[in-house]
Amino acid sequence: MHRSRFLSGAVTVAATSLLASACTTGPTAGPSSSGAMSGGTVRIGVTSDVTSFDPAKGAGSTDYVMTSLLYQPLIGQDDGGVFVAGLAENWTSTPTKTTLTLKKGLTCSDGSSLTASQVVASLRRYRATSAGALLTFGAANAGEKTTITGDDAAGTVSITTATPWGEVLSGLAGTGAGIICKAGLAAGTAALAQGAVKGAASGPYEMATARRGASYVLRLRKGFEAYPRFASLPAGKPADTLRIQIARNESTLANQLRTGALDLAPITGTDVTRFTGDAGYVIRSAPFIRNHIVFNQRPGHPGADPKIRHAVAQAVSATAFNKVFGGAGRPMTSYVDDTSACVSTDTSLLTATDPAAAKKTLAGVSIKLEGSNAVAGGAGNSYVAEALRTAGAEVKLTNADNATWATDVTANQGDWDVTVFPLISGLLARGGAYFLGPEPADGGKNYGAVKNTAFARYYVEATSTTDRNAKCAAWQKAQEALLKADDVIPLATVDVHYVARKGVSFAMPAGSLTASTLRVTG
Amino acid sequence: MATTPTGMTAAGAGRTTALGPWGGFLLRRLVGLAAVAITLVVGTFLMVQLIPGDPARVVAGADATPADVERARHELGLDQPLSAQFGTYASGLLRGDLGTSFQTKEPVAEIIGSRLPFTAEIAFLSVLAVLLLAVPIGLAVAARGSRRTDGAFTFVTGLVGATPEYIIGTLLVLGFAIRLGWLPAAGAETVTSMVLPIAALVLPGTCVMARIVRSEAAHVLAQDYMRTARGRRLPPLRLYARHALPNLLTATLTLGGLILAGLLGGTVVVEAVFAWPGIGQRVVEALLVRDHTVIQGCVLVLGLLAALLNLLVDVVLALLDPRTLAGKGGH
Repeated sequence: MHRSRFLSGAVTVAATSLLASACTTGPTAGPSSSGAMSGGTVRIGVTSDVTSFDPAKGAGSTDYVMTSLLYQPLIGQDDGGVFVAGLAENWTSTPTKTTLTLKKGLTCSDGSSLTASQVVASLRRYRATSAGALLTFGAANAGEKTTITGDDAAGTVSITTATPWGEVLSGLAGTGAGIICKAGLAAGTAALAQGAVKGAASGPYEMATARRGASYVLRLRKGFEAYPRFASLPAGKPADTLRIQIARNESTLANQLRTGALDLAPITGTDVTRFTGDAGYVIRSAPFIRNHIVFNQRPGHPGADPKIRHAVAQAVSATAFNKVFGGAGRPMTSYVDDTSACVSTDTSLLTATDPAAAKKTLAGVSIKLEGSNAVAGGAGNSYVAEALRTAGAEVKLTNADNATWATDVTANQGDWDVTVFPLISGLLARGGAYFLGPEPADGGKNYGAVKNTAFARYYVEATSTTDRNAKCAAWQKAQEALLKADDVIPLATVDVHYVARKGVSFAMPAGSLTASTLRVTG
Repeated sequence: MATTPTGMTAAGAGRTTALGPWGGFLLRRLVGLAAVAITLVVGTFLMVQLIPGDPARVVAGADATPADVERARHELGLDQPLSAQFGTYASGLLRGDLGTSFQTKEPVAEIIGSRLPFTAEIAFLSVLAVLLLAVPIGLAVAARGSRRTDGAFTFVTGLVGATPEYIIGTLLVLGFAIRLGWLPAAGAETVTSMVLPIAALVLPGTCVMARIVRSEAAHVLAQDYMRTARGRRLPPLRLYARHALPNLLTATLTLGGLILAGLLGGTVVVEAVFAWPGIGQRVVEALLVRDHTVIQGCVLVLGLLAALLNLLVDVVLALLDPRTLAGKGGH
């Protein structure tokens, strides 16, 4: 339905030049439209706008959804950490060299061929511009210490690292390493960030229309075949059109799902109960945030004392923490959840909850607890504060917004003793990088100043091998070292519940929704 | 109430005389507008500096190393002294450049240009609807003069007027979108998408305005000239439209202007409930990620719009009642 926006002219005083671009010419999406089932269109609701369309600069969940549809990684990562084909059909990997062979006939969204040289250029850009690349190639292999070369004739791409690093494939499977085609690389960072580059996409979809803050329409590229080959790919066919609509409020998303204006939406809060038991909807849940307690272990802070850390671990309960969020998450046994590869599920490594014992140590101890209020207004932080108060500690709670919390805690510019860390990543290597190495002031990420030499040794061992058994064995020892020292106290996940109308299906490899697996089945 | 100049000096009075009442009036208002603009430019710049949190860290991302954060700080110009940052901002404004979003790299003017029309659309239509509904309702209740009607009116308008917009919005969605399926629950895709957000703004606004109109109308209807008019047995429409209504306009227009100015920057909650892509939502998003340039640009433009609306109301009031040309105490 086309319409001009009444009264647009009234505000030309303030914004004359771009008024026309605000005019709506989108299709009807009323309560009666049948969406996915009728026209091959799937309408996805999201709670935030895209901050950057540049895969290397993705910062939020909507960024990852969008860039995973536009820019296909070379490989995918399936359940149990198994790698599957993406743009690359096969690969070999040793701790110092990874070689990937591209599928034949790969193309970009402008129809041009996607060659090994272009893939190399895209990966070199990723290495230079993405903060996440440090974990893909290893901190010791920054910059030119990682060599990326390609052979157009053979269709191969080789990555060589100066020091052994066994996480290259895992990094390449991430959305940040999605391949940008020649047109995108030529257009530059600013244009890529704004998503306006034609011919840049290597993934299954390309941008058709964009209305910042409101909606995006992506069209399926004809002839695209390089979908990641996950073991549990749903039946059906990819939607011809994806319409991504923004509504910051989860209740609004639920209303839109209920009235048929959306086909799929992520819900983290209690609105999911509106769909529980309804045969017209399918709900699938996945960990979204992995909460755990971390201490400031610098001298003068209570967390420097192992006894205090142990008492804090005794004072809190992962099960009670989970109940704060309606019990919909899952208590954790490490700093990542149990869907992660090589995660420790050994509960004997955890300190048992014992508030009475905690009281003997914590009585009268002053603790400054600072957490992010991004999830449920910081309800989890409030629980931890109350648990510590019950154990006799004098707690000063600061529920800060994400930006303030990140500055105060992860940059260590604030005065804090304890934090509830909301880890987004489900990877042991990524989450573990916060517990070793230099502190932020010295260019590192170890914001709590953790000095756990056993963890550091096994971390290096785990990330230096590509042998799966050896990797998991080393990870087990690393987690054991961390948990036994109470350097980290696992709490519970906050899950995201993907609610889909019947007729829309998707895969959740390695515990997270991969947008390129969306299929219309009805 | 409409803004009025205070403390006119003798020199000011002299200028008023030389320029005529309208010249002096407009000069005073324009000088006031310029002062507001300068205050807004300085105020918005200083305001964002007070917000805790590091924008460079947010831009650099969760995986960023301190070196990445410092690189982002340099790219954003945040490593410059505050005076240099203000100089860059102010000189950009003089060229009509509001800057570029820290986060999305979009020009701020583009962001405002794409979001403000959505907010303005529902704000203007809401105020129009409030005026069209509240004036006749308030006037009718005052004219009726029945204690029973008055009591019912006071109860209903008090209840609805005090109900937060998000509750009204949620009830409207439950009724008209989910139960009846007549209207979209959210979004901005069709003309019908506007109905519920506007209704959520109009209902409490109408109640508040109708109470003021009723009160003003009761005062006007008790005046001698109205008794005389009634004594001449004028038709009701002529009586109220020609004799009562003009005397209600001062309060009504002043309040309408204030409501509109408030709605332009303050429809955040309604925008959230209805996923309406307006500027209020964008300001909140910018605040959460410390996007200083977007916050500054949006607040500046919204502030200027509010000042312009006040000026417009003052001009209209002066046209209706030339006594206000002289300003405060000039009757």
